[in-house]
Amino acid sequence: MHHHPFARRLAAGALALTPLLAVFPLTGAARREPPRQPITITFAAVVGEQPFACGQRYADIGTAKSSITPSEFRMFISDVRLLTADGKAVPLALEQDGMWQSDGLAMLDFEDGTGPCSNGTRERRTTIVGDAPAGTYTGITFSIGVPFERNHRDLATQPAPLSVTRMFWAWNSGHKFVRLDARTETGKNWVLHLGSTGCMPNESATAPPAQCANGNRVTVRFDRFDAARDVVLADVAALYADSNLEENQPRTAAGCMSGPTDGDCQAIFAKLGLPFNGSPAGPQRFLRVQAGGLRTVRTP
Amino acid sequence: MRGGIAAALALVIGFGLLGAATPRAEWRWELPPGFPVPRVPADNPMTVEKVTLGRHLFYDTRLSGNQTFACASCHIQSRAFADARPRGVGSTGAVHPRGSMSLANVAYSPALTWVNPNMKSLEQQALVPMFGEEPVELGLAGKEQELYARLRADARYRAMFASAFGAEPEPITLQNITRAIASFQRTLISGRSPYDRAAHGDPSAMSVEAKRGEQLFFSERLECFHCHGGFNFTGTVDHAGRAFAEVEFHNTGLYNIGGRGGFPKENPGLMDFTQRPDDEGKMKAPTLRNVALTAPYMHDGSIPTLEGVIEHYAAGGRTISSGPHAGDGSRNPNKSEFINGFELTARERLDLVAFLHSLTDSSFLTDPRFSDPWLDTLPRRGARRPR
Repeated sequence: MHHHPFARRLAAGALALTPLLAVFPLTGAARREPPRQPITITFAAVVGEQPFACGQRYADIGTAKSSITPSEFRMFISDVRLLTADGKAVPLALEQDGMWQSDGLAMLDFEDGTGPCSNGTRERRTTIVGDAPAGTYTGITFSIGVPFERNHRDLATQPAPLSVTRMFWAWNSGHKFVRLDARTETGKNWVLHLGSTGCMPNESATAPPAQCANGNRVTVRFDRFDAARDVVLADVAALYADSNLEENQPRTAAGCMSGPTDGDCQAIFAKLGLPFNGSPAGPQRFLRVQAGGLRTVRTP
Repeated sequence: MRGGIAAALALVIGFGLLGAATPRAEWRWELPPGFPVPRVPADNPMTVEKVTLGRHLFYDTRLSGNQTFACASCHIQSRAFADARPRGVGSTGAVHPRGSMSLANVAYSPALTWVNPNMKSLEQQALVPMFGEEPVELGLAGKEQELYARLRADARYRAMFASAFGAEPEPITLQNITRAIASFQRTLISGRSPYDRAAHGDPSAMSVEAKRGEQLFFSERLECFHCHGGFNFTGTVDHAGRAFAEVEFHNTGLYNIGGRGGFPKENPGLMDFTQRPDDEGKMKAPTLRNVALTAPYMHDGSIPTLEGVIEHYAAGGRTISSGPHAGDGSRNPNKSEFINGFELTARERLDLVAFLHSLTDSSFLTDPRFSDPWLDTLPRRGARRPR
């Protein structure tokens, strides 16, 4: 059994004693869990400078300057950790609400079931709620996606939010990590369904896949992020900036359903910072931090 | 005495309605001669009540988003639970890249669908047609609450779910729906064809032509049996008592686009999962039982007749001379080592076709246990025949 860090510091010498005493009374304090603070991470979906809304028309998307109308936008976030100034990554313990968050996994839901989002839900969810040891956090890191060990369980028995059928990816034995559906003004469907591909069975008769060649989970890291003030923006326009939404590759899914040979995924995966078909991973451009919250986002 | 029976009966019925833990009838397989006992998942044992419920769900159009389609819309009993289309068409008109497979003897298949090595249980597989969106089949994605509400609103379902899953406070769940449908599908066992009758004591059940065809089928000259062997005429098989399941995928030289083994992009075969280029075009060999009823053939319905299929194998692969799929399939670099072509006389071709017809189990096609249970009810719930 190793010594508690505080106890070690106390033993190290009297010099350390004075500042510590100011915060922690000596009696028993060395063994107590440090107090925790509630933390809410706020997200917002945008299309360039405009807020995302079901049924809204957005112009100038992608290389063909398409006008698009979205009909779905949800995603799973996991492994949320807060970064301290000295580089530590402290897990955010998520509230277990039985609806949006379960263990270390959260679903964000930017659609409200209206208009072309009618297959969605009225309920929206744009925050991740949890708590962490009291302290000062200067950054954040998390993953877009469902962790492998939870992604391939029996879909019929998963707790919320993994019970949401619109995020099922039954053919690939898992869940969609990001689902963003839209239609162009010219009548073309353009969707992103991000999930793991190249999944191979293990030896047992029923167990989930042993491994997936392409996990397709996006690691996001913002070194400067203040949860109390800042918002993480998920920008549809940035995601599709290098895609031509008017020209789907023949005989492939409309847009990108993560197919490893679907050329339409190339530009999208690049924006997600994911490797694709030989192209190495780069920095992700889909999410960014809006300092000071949403005030500066123009309303349409 | 009669009063005692009536009271006991009333007690049993009463328990059933209450959803109490009524002792359920032990499941008895009525297997054709020579058929092994299917392997059933430990967490979903067979019961009469689950099978009854599953049969109702299988034929119920309320199991589609727009209430026009059921499992039975694409899996039609008179077609050995396949359909007559080259490729499946879903509830919203979306066309599947592959054809509906026969469900005959699906209980013995350790890998389901044409090509998914991860699809290991019928419970898991049911979720694909229910919730899949590429393509839409039953179109239930995002509509699961509507589905549960529809089922809850029907007193017959409340009783059937309580009877099948009585111990649970709310038995109308996704898991119980898929468990019941899977249980019904496991009962779809077909093994009383003329071929089976001939093999088990009645040589006159098969014509002399069919018997000659059987010799050809099982010959090293034609090699059919390597991929379509065993009691279910497929190498992908499992059942109780086996040490392990066998799962096979084969490239039959159906395409060779660009001379490099290419298949049409919407059907890459096993490569879709393994990402290995040499797995392109590999599919599961389906059972050949009732094969005379399941035209058109191959995963994409691209060969209309059994004679055409024999032609394809006789050539050692299909040559497509022009168009986007042009290529000599016989030279597909990933082709199975058993597909090398053969020569048949005209009579031998007829014999082989006669043998394949002898695998038709007509009792399976009309077995009332597998038929639409909604036929006599109003409003009609059963699956419409495809237009």
